[in-house]
Amino acid sequence: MESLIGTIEAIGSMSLYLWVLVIVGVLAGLLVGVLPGLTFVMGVLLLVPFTYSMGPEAALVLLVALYVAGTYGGALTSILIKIPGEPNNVPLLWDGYTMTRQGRAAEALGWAATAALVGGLAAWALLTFAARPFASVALNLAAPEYFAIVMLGLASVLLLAEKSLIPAVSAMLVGMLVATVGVHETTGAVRYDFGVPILRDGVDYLIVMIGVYALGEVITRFSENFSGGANQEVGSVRTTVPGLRALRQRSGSFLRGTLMGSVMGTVPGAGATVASFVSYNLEKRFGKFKDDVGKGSPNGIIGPQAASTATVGGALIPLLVLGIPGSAAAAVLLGVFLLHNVQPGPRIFVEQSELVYTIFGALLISLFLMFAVGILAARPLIRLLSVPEVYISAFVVLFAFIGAFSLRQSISDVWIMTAFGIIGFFMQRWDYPIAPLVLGAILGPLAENYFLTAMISSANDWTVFFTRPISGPLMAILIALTVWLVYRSFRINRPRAAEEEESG
Amino acid sequence: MTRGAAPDRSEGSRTTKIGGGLNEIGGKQEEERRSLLSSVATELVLLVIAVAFFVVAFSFEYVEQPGRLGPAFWPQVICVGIGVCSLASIAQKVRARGRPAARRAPIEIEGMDGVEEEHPVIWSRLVTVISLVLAYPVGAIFLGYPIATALLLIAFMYLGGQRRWYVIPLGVFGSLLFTYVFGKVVYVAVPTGVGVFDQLTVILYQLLGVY
Repeated sequence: MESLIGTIEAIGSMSLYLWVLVIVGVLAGLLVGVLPGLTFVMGVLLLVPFTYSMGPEAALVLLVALYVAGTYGGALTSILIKIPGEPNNVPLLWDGYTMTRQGRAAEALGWAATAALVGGLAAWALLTFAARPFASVALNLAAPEYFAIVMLGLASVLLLAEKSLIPAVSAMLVGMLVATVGVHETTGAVRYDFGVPILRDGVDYLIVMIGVYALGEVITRFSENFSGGANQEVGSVRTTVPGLRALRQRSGSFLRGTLMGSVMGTVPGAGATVASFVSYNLEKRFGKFKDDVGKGSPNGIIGPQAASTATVGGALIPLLVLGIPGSAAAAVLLGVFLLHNVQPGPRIFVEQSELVYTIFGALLISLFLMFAVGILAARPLIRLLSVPEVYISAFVVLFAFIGAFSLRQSISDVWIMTAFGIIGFFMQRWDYPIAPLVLGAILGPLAENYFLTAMISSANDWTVFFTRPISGPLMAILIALTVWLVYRSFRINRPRAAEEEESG
Repeated sequence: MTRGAAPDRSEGSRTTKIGGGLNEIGGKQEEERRSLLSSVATELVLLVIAVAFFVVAFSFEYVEQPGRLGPAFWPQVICVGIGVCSLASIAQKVRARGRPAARRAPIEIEGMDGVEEEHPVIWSRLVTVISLVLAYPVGAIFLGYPIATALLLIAFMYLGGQRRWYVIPLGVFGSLLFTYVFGKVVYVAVPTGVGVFDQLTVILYQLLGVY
């Protein structure tokens, strides 16, 4: 309740400047959501340089607004012209676009907007009411527990790489290795600087992210001659918001989508895309209208869209409570926290509660704004698709350059970012997933610090991770998860190999 | 007359064309070996990196404290992990030799099968875009941020397929806008170039009101 009161007070005391930033963030989020080739993670990343001169509140309000609106913007293009602005909007093609072809575009848009609002609100409520109690629990955690949690976070991303466990683990380990470059916190030793001064200060994971996500995507799209891009127009765009009865009828989809999104949001590396696809599958397999899903059913829109937007609230919980990002966009937010000398973690609720409540408030306002703009401004947003992608990509390069450069005012960071852009391109071509690389770069240093702290405090007794009441079960889960992942990968690959042997 | 196992690809393929059992087998084996080598190239690179980083970690300088793990411990554990993964992947690919489909399993995320549409890469465009992103920082160092940015925007849009006159004013305008925003609003001290270009950038900054 304290959080709710705090949030209401924070909204009440928000300055005009912060309101303007929320509006700008929502519009920017919808914009990047609509435009293919610009993901909302890229959007959050590329706006970071603009936040340097802002205070932490303003910076985070802007980026949170962009993040939440970005999960919805692509729904418009998916439904109307079969072009998903974001990967998480792909499932909306199947029923959303089918509804458009059936002449039910207004209805489909209404369901998408409502699902985004409901999913977002439910996750916001979870964040507002659950984050503080979680933080109280987290205050009692020590290094061994944090180490186990971070390792679980690292392992969870591997959960998503079904048949390709080895490339995913390799990518993650490379990310972790990159993160070891620079001065070691515990001993002060300089690691892997190879005589290059800038490497002494380490490789910031934001630079890795800008490289692999933003520049890597530009390289990919340019080299593919921007194939599959959008240059279409849509005649009349109208949105019909569903009535209460219709909402009640499909409440199960809202619930499943929201739950899935909130849970997936907390899992590092999972994020909106996975939540959206899993929710669609849930609707197709277990939904009340499962037979209609895929043929133009609103449930095929509700589940994925509610899940996508709900991931935002879910991702903010581990970020604020533990300082561990639940998604790529949340990792950027973590970077922004740190850039402004704010350390997320359980103590933030005590020491910087105003900031936390302002973020909660901004999230809430963003959801309603996103809904309103989505309903009223669908048409002008769709018109943006007539801008050739090459123009957008050219400006993304500028943003990527300035984003990397401004972190330490160093051109060397631009070189590092460019190198990661090229690496990102080749990783995509060679089927090495990018998310584990980024996650490794983000969580690797945390894992090392917690591990070494735990070892120092226990006089190098490694059993400390297994004998404590919370870290013990967590480590057991981690080991069981790892064994299961290896077994699953082996089991999945084996029949395929056998099949190929038979056919070959 | 048989030539035995072909030492290089061209010879192998020639003997295969002529025909003859052993030559054909030799050519195929050679082709398979090369194809296997190219399919495990990434793993080999990772393996070399892992070994190199493992060895370099021994040379970290620090004040040793008895009973405490040093700065090399964590990266070396990671290197071992990368090495093990690379070897496991190589073993997997060697076992799957002759089964091209098994060489590289696509990254699949639950529920996402068949969703990602892959477009072919045009290699000349790849070289172009990599050259552009590499040339941009070099240009920024020597020509200064505003000039390099204008050139990048124009070149990127032109080579990207927009062969229209207005990419020139668009590039110039975009550069001026970014220079103003980052110089005046966000206060990022972007490179000003060297020599005459430095002077040009300073004049431009004065005209824009940044200085």
